[in-house]
Amino acid sequence: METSTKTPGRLEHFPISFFAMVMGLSGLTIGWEKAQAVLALDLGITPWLIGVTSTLFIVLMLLYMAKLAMYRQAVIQELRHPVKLNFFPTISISLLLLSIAFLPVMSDVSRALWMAGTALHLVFTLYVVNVWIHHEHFQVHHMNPAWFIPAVGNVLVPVAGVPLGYQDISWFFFSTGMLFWLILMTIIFYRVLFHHPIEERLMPTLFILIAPPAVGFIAYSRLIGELDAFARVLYFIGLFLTLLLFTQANRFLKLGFFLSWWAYSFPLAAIGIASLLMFERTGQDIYRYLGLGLLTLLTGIVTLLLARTAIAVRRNGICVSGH
Amino acid sequence: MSDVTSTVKSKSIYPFVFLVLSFSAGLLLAYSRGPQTLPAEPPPTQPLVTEPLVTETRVNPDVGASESAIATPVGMDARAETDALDTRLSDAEAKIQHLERELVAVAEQQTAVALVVEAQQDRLAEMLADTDTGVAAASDSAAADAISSASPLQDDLVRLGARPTERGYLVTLTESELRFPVGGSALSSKRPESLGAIAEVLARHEQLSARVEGHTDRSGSAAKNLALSRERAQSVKDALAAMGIDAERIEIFGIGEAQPIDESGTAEARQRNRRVEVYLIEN
Repeated sequence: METSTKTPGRLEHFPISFFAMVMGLSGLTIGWEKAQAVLALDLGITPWLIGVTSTLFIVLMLLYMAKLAMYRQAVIQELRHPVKLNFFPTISISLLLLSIAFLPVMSDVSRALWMAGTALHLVFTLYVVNVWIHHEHFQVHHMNPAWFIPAVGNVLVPVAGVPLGYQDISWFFFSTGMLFWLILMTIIFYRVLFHHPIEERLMPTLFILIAPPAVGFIAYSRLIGELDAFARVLYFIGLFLTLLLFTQANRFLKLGFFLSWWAYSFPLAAIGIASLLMFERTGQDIYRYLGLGLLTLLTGIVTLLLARTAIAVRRNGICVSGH
Repeated sequence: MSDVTSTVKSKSIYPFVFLVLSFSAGLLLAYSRGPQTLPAEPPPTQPLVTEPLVTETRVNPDVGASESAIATPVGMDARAETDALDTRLSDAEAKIQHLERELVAVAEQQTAVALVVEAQQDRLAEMLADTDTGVAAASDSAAADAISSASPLQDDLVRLGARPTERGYLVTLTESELRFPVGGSALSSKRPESLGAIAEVLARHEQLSARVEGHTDRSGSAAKNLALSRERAQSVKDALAAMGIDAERIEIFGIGEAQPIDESGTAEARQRNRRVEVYLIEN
């Protein structure tokens, strides 16, 4: 897969959205770490999951760096693209997710990843919001749930930040994330209600709507250390959005494969982990069933996504112009 | 045309079945690990004393039956009903155990304080008696010596929150208090105040030695936990030594996950179990 992608023409069109794969696989890793803790089981899969996710991140990073070195103009075009721009923070989010995955096994590595991810994410957030404010080319149909990606990253910071001892920095990023979540949620509903439907290949990004409340619940629980009213509100908003999207499963199943399908993975991991956390906090068995069900569903989906991505790469279906 | 439609339909059913099976696998996994093992803990925001303990724990057959009839669909068989009641009962029992443990801890603390106060009162009474019997002039300096040599230690121990046990005066330091990183043993550059307070007491009372024990929860492998607990005890010893305490006065032990103080298995319980215990022993 990697060797074929390195051919000059394809490298030029190597999309930044590939990093959504790392988000999905990290979500799967963290989900199974949590599930094993809840079930008091050691399945021996954690090192494998962490290894595969880290390797994928390194390979994608190297490929994207090569693209930056050889086709700087192509990278700049992506940075100026109204939709693709929002996928750049998937790099810093991948770092933050890897730091969460490494937290129970190698805290030093986790700290280094967290620092790099947090700093980079601040840079990306500032850049993206600056572009939002000083743009000349955004139309309302450019608005899609991928715009949430920079916001989600901010909310992720406390998940590893609090156990690593960075309380105030975590609060800073959490607050920023919540601010943009509310703003973007309003705009996205306005766009969906009153303008053209979201184009087919970006439909799966609707799943990103689940991530801010679900991750927000996990992050807020770390910050506060207890299950208060706001924590419950966040969790149940996430659960409602999950149900809302599940009722549209038929529409999603009819879509053709695009790299954006990976958008299904991370938000599902987030709501699965949030459910397992709810079980830990309330002791109610329903959340354990829900969390594990969502986690195995995610495992099935990730397996499918890996297979479909491999097929698409083999058929030159991804690294092409316009993707 | 109809063939094409049916092929498309049958094709689109596979992913749906696959997703349903994936979700069911998780439900099966949850079911196979048995019923819920964690007790239903009250949310930490609610103070424990406000819990309606009696109504929660007493299983009144009439009330139980009517409640479960409301909570479950009509037609649920007697076995399922019994299971539901059993779960309620085990939840309530776990809650009682949790509260009892808290009560014992509070009682122990009260006894410790009472013992120290009693000892000081006795000492004061003895000294007053000495003064009254007229040997005041001669014994005044002796009484002053007694106050300065014995009372300050007890004062310090009370201030430290140390609890008398058979093995010495116990100070328990939580993982978050010591700011250990998750799975790590390095103390942050900011030393916790409690560690500084222990160092002060050790410095002031040369007759004391310390036994430092590291404890972990049951997450992860036992061997790793054992090593981690010892490393954390060593970090505490190093920190005390860095504060000027002779390292030879400090013994360290890694206990790992072997001696939990709360076995209920909740996140809070695991947090309580991850701790370092410092026993101050009078030689």
